[in-house]
Formats: sequence, structure tokens, C-alpha cells
Amino acid sequence: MKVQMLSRRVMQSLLRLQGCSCPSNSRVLSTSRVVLKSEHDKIDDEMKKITEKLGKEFEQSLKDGKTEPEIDKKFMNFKQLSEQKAHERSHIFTWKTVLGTFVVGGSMLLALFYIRKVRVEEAEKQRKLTAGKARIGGDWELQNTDGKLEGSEQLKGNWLLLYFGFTHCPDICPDEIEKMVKVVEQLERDKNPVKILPIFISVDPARDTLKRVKEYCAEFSPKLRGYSGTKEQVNKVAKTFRVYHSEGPKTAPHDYIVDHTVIMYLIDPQGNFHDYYGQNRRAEKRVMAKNPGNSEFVVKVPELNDMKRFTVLKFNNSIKIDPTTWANPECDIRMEREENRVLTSGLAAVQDFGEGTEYGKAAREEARRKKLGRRANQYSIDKQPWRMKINEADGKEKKLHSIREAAGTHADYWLFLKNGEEFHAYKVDDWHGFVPAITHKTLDIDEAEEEFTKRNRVMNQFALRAQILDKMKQKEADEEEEQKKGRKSGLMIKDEHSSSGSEGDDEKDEDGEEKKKKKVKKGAKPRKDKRVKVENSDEVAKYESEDGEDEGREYDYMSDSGSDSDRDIPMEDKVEKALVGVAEEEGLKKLMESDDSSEDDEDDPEKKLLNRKDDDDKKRRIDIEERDSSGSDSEVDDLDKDKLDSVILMPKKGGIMDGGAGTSTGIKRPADDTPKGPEVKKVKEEKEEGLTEEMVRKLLRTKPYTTKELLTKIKARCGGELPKAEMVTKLAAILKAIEPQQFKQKQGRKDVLFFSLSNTI
Amino acid sequence: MSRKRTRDEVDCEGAKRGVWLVKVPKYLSDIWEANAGSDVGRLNISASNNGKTVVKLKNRQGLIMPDNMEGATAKGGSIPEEHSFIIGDIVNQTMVVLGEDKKGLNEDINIRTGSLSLEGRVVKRAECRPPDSLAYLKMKIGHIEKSGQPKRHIQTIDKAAVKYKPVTMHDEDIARMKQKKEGIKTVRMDKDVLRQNIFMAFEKHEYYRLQDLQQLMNQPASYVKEILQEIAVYNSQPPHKSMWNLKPEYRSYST
Repeated sequence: MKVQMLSRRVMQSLLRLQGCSCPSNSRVLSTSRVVLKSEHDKIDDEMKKITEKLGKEFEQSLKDGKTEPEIDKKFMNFKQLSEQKAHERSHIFTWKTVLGTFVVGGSMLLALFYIRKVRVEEAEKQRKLTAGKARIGGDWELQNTDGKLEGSEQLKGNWLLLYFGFTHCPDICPDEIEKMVKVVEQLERDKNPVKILPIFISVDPARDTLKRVKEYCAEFSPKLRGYSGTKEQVNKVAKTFRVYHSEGPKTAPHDYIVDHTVIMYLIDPQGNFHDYYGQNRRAEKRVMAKNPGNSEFVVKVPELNDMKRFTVLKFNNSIKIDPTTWANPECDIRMEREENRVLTSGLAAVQDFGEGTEYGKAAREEARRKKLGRRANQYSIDKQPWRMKINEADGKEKKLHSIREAAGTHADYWLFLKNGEEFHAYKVDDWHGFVPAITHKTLDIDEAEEEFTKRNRVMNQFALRAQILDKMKQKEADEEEEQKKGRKSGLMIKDEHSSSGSEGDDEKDEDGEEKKKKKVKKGAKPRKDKRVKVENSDEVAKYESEDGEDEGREYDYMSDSGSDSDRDIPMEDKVEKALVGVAEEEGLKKLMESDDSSEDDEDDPEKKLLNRKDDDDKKRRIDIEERDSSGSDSEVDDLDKDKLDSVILMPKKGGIMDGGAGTSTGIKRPADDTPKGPEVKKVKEEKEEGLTEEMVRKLLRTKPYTTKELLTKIKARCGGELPKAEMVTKLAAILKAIEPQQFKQKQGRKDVLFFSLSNTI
Repeated sequence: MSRKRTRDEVDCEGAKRGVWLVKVPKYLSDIWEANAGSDVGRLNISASNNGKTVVKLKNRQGLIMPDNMEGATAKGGSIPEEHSFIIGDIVNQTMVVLGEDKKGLNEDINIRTGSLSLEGRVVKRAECRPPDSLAYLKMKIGHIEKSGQPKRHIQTIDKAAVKYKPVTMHDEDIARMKQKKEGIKTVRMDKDVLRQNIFMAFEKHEYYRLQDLQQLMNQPASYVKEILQEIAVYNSQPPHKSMWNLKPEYRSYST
């Protein structure tokens, strides 16, 4: 404490030092006054004194033995300081002053309240007084719903609650009338019931017939009495009650709204105006204004019904639906459950009756699955989401689908439905949130995948245009091709005939005629166009290089070259070409003739005899072999035939068929594709000439043959034209001429003679 | 207004009716369900001093308590007598109550939806709030404790329980089977009638096992087979192996 005091004094003295510049402190102020009075030297003296005094004090404190003073915990505790100061200040607010203010304030308030009360009462009185002076209300007469004239005279003795409105009123009138009815009901239910007659007066006599008013009133309460009348009558009544009413803008002759005052008038049994109520006062309040009472309802839980389920359907505001309009009979709402049986059970929907079904298959499947330890999910139709279709009265259609929501576990939801004076409570079983159904087509997963691969592709518009053009041209080209195909095949055959020369000149003439016809046909079409088309077909192939396309192109090329030649080469040239063909044929003929000559040689009787002698034993052997294995060897023959067909003959078919004279394969090949009458005939001719030396040579070169095999081979080649004996003799002769290598080999038990020719020769 | 409605059409006559949606604590909900068919309480609507309406639900005396409530009320806790309703508006959404009545569907109850009708639209949302009382807290504690207890306990037994050896076939079963078999064997139906029955069965399904048919007809297997051989063919190949179907001349499964 000592130290603290000391420090404070130091601070004070320091402040005194700064006195002239810091006038806020009172002590400093006093010193400053002294300073003002005295001279400057006086100040100096004082300064000295102070410094001496301070020095002394400091030394004394040092002498006390404590070089460093103990630091108090509360040293420099500003909070405590401020508290101390606050305490010092607080003595201004004593209990007395507090009491005084309360007394004064309270009395003032009381006075205020009293004045206000008086004023309100006065105002009320004033209001009632002015009303009582018949400025509002008075006698009135109108037609009641039964068509009788009725008015204030007849209704005297009752409290009346009057309301002016019109039956077409969209919102306010029904609300107000409801309120009115409520008020009347509540007042009747009270301990000391007050009977009030609710009265509805129409201000729209043009539209509100008595019948309509009656129906309208019956909707709200049987107690509600409706009144209407002629325009004059209504206007008169409205005037007596100072009710403003006027028809609003007409959109149609019978579609307008009447502006009118929304005020209820309370009339006392004497027929005088008692009070009025505006729109903003609520029914309860209006009742409570008379007598504050509570309403009580019984809450009842009806018998549980397993058959009935309650679902709350939730619609987001963005969907914009209005359930109040749904009651309109023009509005049509359909709802059905989504069919998800296939999805949940993981099985395809199986038909469970009729054709192709097995009895008890499902049960067996289920048993099998159970055996394997799987259990199918139970499918419940009641848990499936809804599909909803709303056809509103104005023709709009909305499609929604729901998402089933999970119910909470800690609380249940109950629906309170008002039923007379009771609330009926039903438990909510399900919740469904509705969202708009997707009506546009969506991609399935595969389609989406495909689209995704195209994501970085840049479209080349030129290429696209070209592609489209090509497609169109291709179509035309295809048609052209078909035409050409037919023509070409015809041409080829005719070339063949002309070159073969077997049928004679008359056919050739015919060909020529046909060619001419073709030419004419071609002439009809512009040449240039044709070329362009060919180019285009190439381009098409460039764009779309499919397998089939290439074939088409090749075909095209061939035919075009043909047609080109047809087109470009004049008639004389063509004739020459035909001549060339003939020449080739002649060469071929020569060869054939040589073969024939050789055959002729063989046919020479002398030679034949010689051959016979030589081959006698051989022939015999053959005969025996044939007899031995007539049945069984046929299989071998077949095999051989197959083999030959497949392995050897197939690739060289043409060559062998030609019987060694097949040099003109180039010309003949196309003919193979289209065997026609005369051509077949020619082949037959060849077959007749088939048994030649050359042919046998060829056969023997391929592999060693027994005589029997050779015979069957030749037989197959030449058909059944030659009689067997003749064939054998012929073969014998040929073999003699060829002089093949002979060797014996064991085949089974027997030794069989094989003939062969080495390829080197 | 009783025009014929198709199955998916919704009866919208109740769409105008206002309905309250009340959130009720589970225990109270259970009580209400246990007391279905009677009053559960009274709803008191009054105005408080500051102009707000106060809604309170007072339970009826002598409500039947459901079974699961016993543990909860054991430790001095009790179901609150009064719950306050906190009433709020429905914002940002429209709620409609749909009723689905499955009465009269009988066997189709699991296949079809019932008749649909709108019961009303939700105009107010209320929350049934229990009072902040000690009794209520005790009840809740009791609830929590009870729900924490395991349903099965381990119990030590002093004496060994009497056990029986498991038997595959009990005497009664054997006797019943025997009786059944004999019954089948003794009574042979008229052949024409049985044939007709078999045809009828084949109308429903194309393939049958002999065993199934025999059970369906309640006739001796040999007798059924005899008729089957007349009118049906036996499949020995996989798609419908070891099943019978009608001969082609008897078949007419029109599509």
C-alpha cells in the first residue's frame, strides 16, 4: 500500500509539474493560479523544494531496506480502480430518488391510462350516438328466398347480423359469410346463448336470382337468410346502410365483379344499429369481444382399417398445381403404380399360364434358389411409386411421377380431418414426393456411350456435303450398274458364241443386231454424264470403303471398259476384234483337231489290234478287279473323285476340261459363270473328246493310278457317253502309246499294278 | 355424382377439404393406435393474452396403454396429460392427402391398386409437443433404457432339459401318409371324367409332371399315366424334360 501511495503521489507531483499545459486536474488548476500570482523565481523555488522532498522520500524508502518494493497483486489493477470510482459515483442514486421517480411516473401513467380510457369510451359513445341517430340503418324491405317481401318490421325482436355481398364473389364474401356463421354458432354454443340471425343481402340483383341466393345461403348454413330484390329496392337498402357498391369492368356480359363495402352490421332487437365489424376482425375475436370463451373439439381415432391407406403427396411449388381446382368435374386425375416387378425380382416377367408353360415352375425355381441360399426380394405393389396424370379443366396436361420417401422413426404423422364437432385422426402410411415426369426420349447406356465417343470429333462440313451428294449419286450409279450387269452378261455370252462358231452365222447376225440396238440406247444418253458418274462411284468408294463396295467397283470397271470399247471403237474395229476372237478360236480348234487326229490314229484298226494283243492280260486283270470289287470299290472311287474335285481339279478346272487344249482360258473364263444352252453343248463335245492321250498323261503326272482308278476317273470325266468296252480299249491304246512307268504295290493282299508318269518329262 | 370410374381415376371430391398434418411423438402415436375406435383426447383452442391462439391436446382419462409402454412408465415416469400444438403454415409446397381403399379386391389385393380418392389438402402443419416436465423426462429415460436392453438373455439352468432324439418321420406322419396313399389307391374316378379333368389342367399349362398331375387329380399314378399315354406325349429332351404335354391333335393354344 505504501508503495502504491507513493507512486500515486509521484504521479500527482509530476502532473503538477506539467501544470500549465494540463488544466483538467483541479489540483493542478489551483497550483496554476498560484503560479499566475507569484513570480517566476517562486516557481523555481517550489521546483527545488519538490525535488528535494522527492529525493528525501526516495532515500527514506531506500533506507527502509527494501531496494525493490514488493509488487502488490492489485497494483495497476484498472478494473478495481474503475469499480472504486463507480462506487464513489453511485451515491447520487439513492433509494429515495428511485422511489420518487416511480411515484411520479406511475401517477402520470395512471392519469394517461385514465384519460385514454375516458376518451375511448367517449368515442365509443359518440360513435353509437351518431349511429343511433339513424345515420346508418333504418327500415328496409326486400324479397326473401321464398319470394315474400320481408324487412326490418318482420325481423324485429332478433339480433341481426347483416352482410352485403353477391353470390359470384370469388373470395371475400364466402370468407366473410363463413365468419358470420361461425360467430353465430359460437354464440349459440355459449353458456348463456345469444340468438343472432345471420342475414345476407345481395347487391348484385342482375345476376342473383332468389333461387341462386337460396342455394348460395344453404351452402353455408341453414340459418343464413338471403335477401334480394329489384335494383331499386337493393339500392335503397344499401343507401340506408351506407353500403357502397358498383359493378366492376365487364369481361363478358355475365362475368364481372361487384365492388362493395365489406362490413357486417349488428342490429339490435329494436331494429337499431348496434355495431359494425370490418373485414380484419376474426371470428374468434368477434366472439371473444362479447364473451371470452374457448372452443374444444374431441379427437377421435376411428377403427383401424387395413384396407385403407393414407398417403401424403407432396408437390414442390415449382410444379404449380392447385388441388382446390381438382374438385372441378372437368378436371381429370389419374394415378397408377409403376410396374417394377421385373426390376426387383431380377427375373424376366414370365407368363404363368397357357402355351409353353410348365405347371409349378415358379415354385420349383424358388425351391431351387432357396436350396442355393438365395431369397428373392418380396415385391409389394403398395411400395411402388406413382405415376400421375393431371388433365386440368383448362385442357392442360401434366405428367408427374413420385419418389417414395422414408417415414421417420421417432415420430408419426397423423391427419386431422374435421368431422362435425370432432377431429378424426388418421395415421399417414406413406409419403410420396412428386416431380415432373420426363417426357422426352433419353439415351440408354449404350447409346450414351456411343455418343460419348463422338465428343471430340469436329465435323467437316465439306466432307459431310460431299458425303450426302455421293450418297445420292451412288443411288443413281447403282441403278445404272444393274442395267449394265444385265447387258454385260448378255454380251459375254454372245462373244462366246460368235467365237465358238458352232452355231453358225445367223446367230452372229443376231448379235450384231443386238449390239446395234445397245449402241442406239447408249447414244440416247449423254456421254459426258456417264463419265462423271464413274468418277463419282470412285469417290464413294473412297469415303466408304466397305467390302461389298470394292467388288462393285471392280465390276463397274470391267463393264465400263467393255462399254467404252463398245462406244469408242467404231463398227469396223469391232468386227476386227471379233475376228481376233475367231482366230483364237481357230487356234484352239487346231489344237483340238490335232487331238482328234491322234484319236483318229488310235482308231486305226491296225493299231487297235496291236494294242489289244499287248494289253490282253492287262485288260483281263482289270476285268477281274472290276468284278471283285464292284460294290465296295465304288466308295473308294467316290473318295477319289471327291479328292480330285477338291484338290486337283478345282483350281485348274478350265484347263483340264479343255482336254489339254485349254490355252484360251482368258476368253473362256467368264463363260463358266453363265452356262447357257449352246455353251453346255460345247462342254459335252469336249467330254466326248475327253479320253485323249494328253488327258491320261496329265492324270498320270499327278499321281500313280491303277487301271481301275483310271477308268473310273475317265468315266467320271467323260460321263456315260462311251460304252465300257470301247473305253477300255481306248484307254489301253493310250497307255500303250504313252508308255508309263509301271510298278506293283501291295494293296491289301493283292499286288496291284500302278501306272505313273514322271513330271520331268 | 356416382359416375363409373376407371381403376386409375382419382375421386377428387375431397380435394377442397382442409386437413391438418400433425406430427405426433411415437409413444403417443402408439397409444392412439391402441385406442383406435374411441376418443383419445380433447383439442382445446383458445386465445392467449397476446392474441395468439393456443392449441392444447388433453388426453382422455383411462386410455389403454400399449404393451411396450409398461417399462417406460415403471420408474415414476408417466405419459404427459397435455401436449401443446405448435401450428405452422405449409410453405413452398403443396400437400395433398390420397386415400387408397383396397376393399373388395379380395385375392387381387397384392396385385392391384385400390380405389383412389383425395381426402383433402393439408392447410396447417402442427407439431404435438410434450410438456417440459420431469415425469416426461423420466418416461423418456425409461424408454431409452428399455430399448437398450437386449431381447435375448443368457440363463443358466440347474437341471438338464429333457431332450428327445430328432426323428425324420413321426408315427403320425407315417399314418397320415399311409392313409392318403390308400385313399388315392382305393377310389378310381370314372375314366372320362378324369380325362376331362386332365384336359382342363392342360388348358392352364402346357407341360405337367406326372407327379403333379397325380396330386392334382388325386388319383393313382398308374391310372393317370394310362390316360396320359392316350392323350399326351412324354418329353425326354431338355427343354421340358420328363414332362407331359398334349398330343398335337388335342392341342389348341390359340394366341
